Amino acid sequence: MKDEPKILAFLCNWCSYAGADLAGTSRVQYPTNIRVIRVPCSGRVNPQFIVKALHDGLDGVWISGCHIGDCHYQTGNYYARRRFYVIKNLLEYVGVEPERVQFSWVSASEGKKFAEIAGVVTEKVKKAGKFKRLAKKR
Amino acid sequence: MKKIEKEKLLRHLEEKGNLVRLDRARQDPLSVTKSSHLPQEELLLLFRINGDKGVEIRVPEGRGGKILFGVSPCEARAVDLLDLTFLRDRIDPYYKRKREDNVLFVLACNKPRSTCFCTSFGYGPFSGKFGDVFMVDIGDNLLIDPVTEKGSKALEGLELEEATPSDLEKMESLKRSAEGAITTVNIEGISEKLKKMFLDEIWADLAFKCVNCGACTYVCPTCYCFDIQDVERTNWGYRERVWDSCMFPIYSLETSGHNPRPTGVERMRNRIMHKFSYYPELYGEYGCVGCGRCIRACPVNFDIREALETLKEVEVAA
Amino acid sequence: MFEKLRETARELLSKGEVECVLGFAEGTLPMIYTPYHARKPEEAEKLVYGPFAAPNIATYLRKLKGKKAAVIVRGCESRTINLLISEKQLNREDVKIIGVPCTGALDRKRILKDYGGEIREARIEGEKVIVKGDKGEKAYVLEEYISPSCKSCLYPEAIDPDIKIDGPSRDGEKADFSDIEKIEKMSPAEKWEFFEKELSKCIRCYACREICPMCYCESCFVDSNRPVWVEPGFDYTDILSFHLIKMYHMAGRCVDCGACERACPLGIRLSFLTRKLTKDMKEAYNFVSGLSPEEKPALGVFSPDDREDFIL
Ligand code: SF4
Ligand code: SF4
Ligand code: SF4
Ligand code: SF4
Ligand code: SF4
Ligand code: FES
Repeated sequence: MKDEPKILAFLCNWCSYAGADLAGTSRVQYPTNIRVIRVPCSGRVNPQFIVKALHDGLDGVWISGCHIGDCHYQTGNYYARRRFYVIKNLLEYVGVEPERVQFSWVSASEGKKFAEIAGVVTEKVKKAGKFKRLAKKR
Repeated sequence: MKKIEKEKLLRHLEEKGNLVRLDRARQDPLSVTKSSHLPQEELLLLFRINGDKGVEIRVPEGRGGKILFGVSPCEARAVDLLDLTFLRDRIDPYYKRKREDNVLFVLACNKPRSTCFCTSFGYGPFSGKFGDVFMVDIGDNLLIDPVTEKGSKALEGLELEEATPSDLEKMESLKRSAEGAITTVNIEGISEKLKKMFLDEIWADLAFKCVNCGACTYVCPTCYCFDIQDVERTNWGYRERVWDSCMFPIYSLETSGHNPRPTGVERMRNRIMHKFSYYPELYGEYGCVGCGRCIRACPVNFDIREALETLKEVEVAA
Repeated sequence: MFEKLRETARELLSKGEVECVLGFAEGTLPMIYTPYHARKPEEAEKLVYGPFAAPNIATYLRKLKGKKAAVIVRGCESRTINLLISEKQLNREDVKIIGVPCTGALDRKRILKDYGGEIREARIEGEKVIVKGDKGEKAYVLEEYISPSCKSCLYPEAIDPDIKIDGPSRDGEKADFSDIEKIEKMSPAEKWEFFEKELSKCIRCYACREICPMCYCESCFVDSNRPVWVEPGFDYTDILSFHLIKMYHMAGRCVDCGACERACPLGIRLSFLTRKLTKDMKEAYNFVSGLSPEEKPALGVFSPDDREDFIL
């Protein structure tokens, strides 16, 4: 387990978290690398969280919200989309592998899609390996 | 005074220990001499929760000083000023250890910079009383003179020649030209005057251009303000000391939310007052050595010499 | 050379149209102008502008809140004013904008380094900076020593000034981002190494933040201790976290004036970050910060068909 990458997932309460729940109740397996934090909306995810997570030793971060147009708060994920683009670009620019930070839209009814994307995210982060660079040593 | 070839001395010192060579460029912008005594970040202690045994605390030991070679007189004098804070009334063990272990080889400044105004403080680029060993670069050789016991010890085992009259003459002429290149600010009476100026309107004017970035205080060899922070992990953590600056709002912010120095005006006033009024009052010495680092580092050209001139001009009611 | 400006300022002050005229005056060191606000008509004599002005003068508008002020601006500074208005930090009615031409701000530290001695005097002559000091007299081509941010400046001239002082300006069409593109093409490991080398010099003095006209937050994330966003100390991971988050806060708000870079006492090339932002915002959202006071910051708005290609 020590060499397995740890991925922090911020899941929006109304869609992706419910999607994860559905995956669970339908007994669809998804990788155990994922640690979930439930957030009210993808718009709640301050990009600072991503930097902090990587700094504190996570190997990857995944953020998932409602499909565009379906946000419970109407526009939360529209704003989030721009923010994520900016932070993802900045992280890549300073040398964080693109695989480590991922975004997706998964609805409450997409339990299977949730598990699939969890698999894809895990594969990508695994490919990039354990992330030591931005993790503070001490 | 004695004399020695520079390379010979350096070889000797290299064998002795951890030699750090400072040329003028390396002394700017940060004062390596200051950070060798008061590092930007310093581990004070480590703590760990050890099962039922409670909290274990470990204080890092670490000795082993540096030989700082080429320290300028102003920086060496600045360390003497740091001593007043860290060794006089209360002893700071972390500072003390470094102070005891470090050896300061001071080199007279043949070519002062345009921002130097050390001569305003009763010493100059050729003052030989600071640090542990005083040196003058006369071209082919170094004139050398131990200042302290520690300095003499560092020179033990070296063959030193006696300086000739012509060497000394060379030194005198270098000294004259160096001192001549420095603009002195007459600060006589400033500390007494400042005492009456706490509420003067001039501070707002003076502080206008300053953005309170703190660069001046970080580069200043006599500024010593620090912050102590605990960094916590799951069952362990550490406490460290990091530089801080009176230029920052958060520096004087109290837990209640009240800030006794709410704006940049009060913070700028503090910086000047501390160096030119509180220090003289407490210790009988100015808290500035006239090195000019703050002038060079300031992004908006706040020139402390100009500020002193302005303060001198202000008329205060007796 | 500054006659037109001084005359304008003098007039504004003597007619009482404004309480002060904010701009720059000669400094005490060569190649650096110092922020100055003229409050009496005769003080207008001190006003100057040009490559030696390093900070973004809009930063000083914070200190003049509630006062009627005229402010002398270059392109980037006028865009800052627009942003400040759009972010409700400034009333348009309170400022009179005097636009001056701009050929770019000087990267002073690079001249100091290349000269290698103590510079005691400097002046601008045509396209050159002539310096004098202990290494004798030397001439440097201005264009070669201009701040990197200015090299990629898209709008060197003030936008919608109330008064315009004419003169030769840079050509915004010639904005050059080729060095940023070069970094973009590096591998993650190379990029990491590149930035570690550049940024690990940082002493976290935050001069870059204080000098920035857009960093006006009452309390900054980096000073927060509950939660701790960035831990104390000089570990590169902490330094980088600070810069990443700060840069993120600047997205669509940074005008790429280069003031932070020029302020950094360690000479760190912060423009590698600010110019990347500028480039990204333009490419992804066709957004240039501060083009109009009505425009909201890029991250405060969205379009239904914003790019999605990075989403799984
Ligand atoms: S360096 Fe200059 S602007 Fe910064 S705090 Fe010091 S005096 Fe103020
Ligand atoms: S206040 Fe300025 S001139 Fe005085 S010791 Fe500090 S850095 Fe040097
Ligand atoms: S001004 Fe330079 S040294 Fe200071 S915090 Fe900014 S980047 Fe770091
Ligand atoms: S870095 Fe961010 S939080 Fe700090 S002052 Fe600038 S914009 Fe505000
Ligand atoms: S962050 Fe942008 S707006 Fe702020 S000082 Fe730097 S270049 Fe100018
Ligand atoms: S509620 Fe799901 S993204 Fe906003």
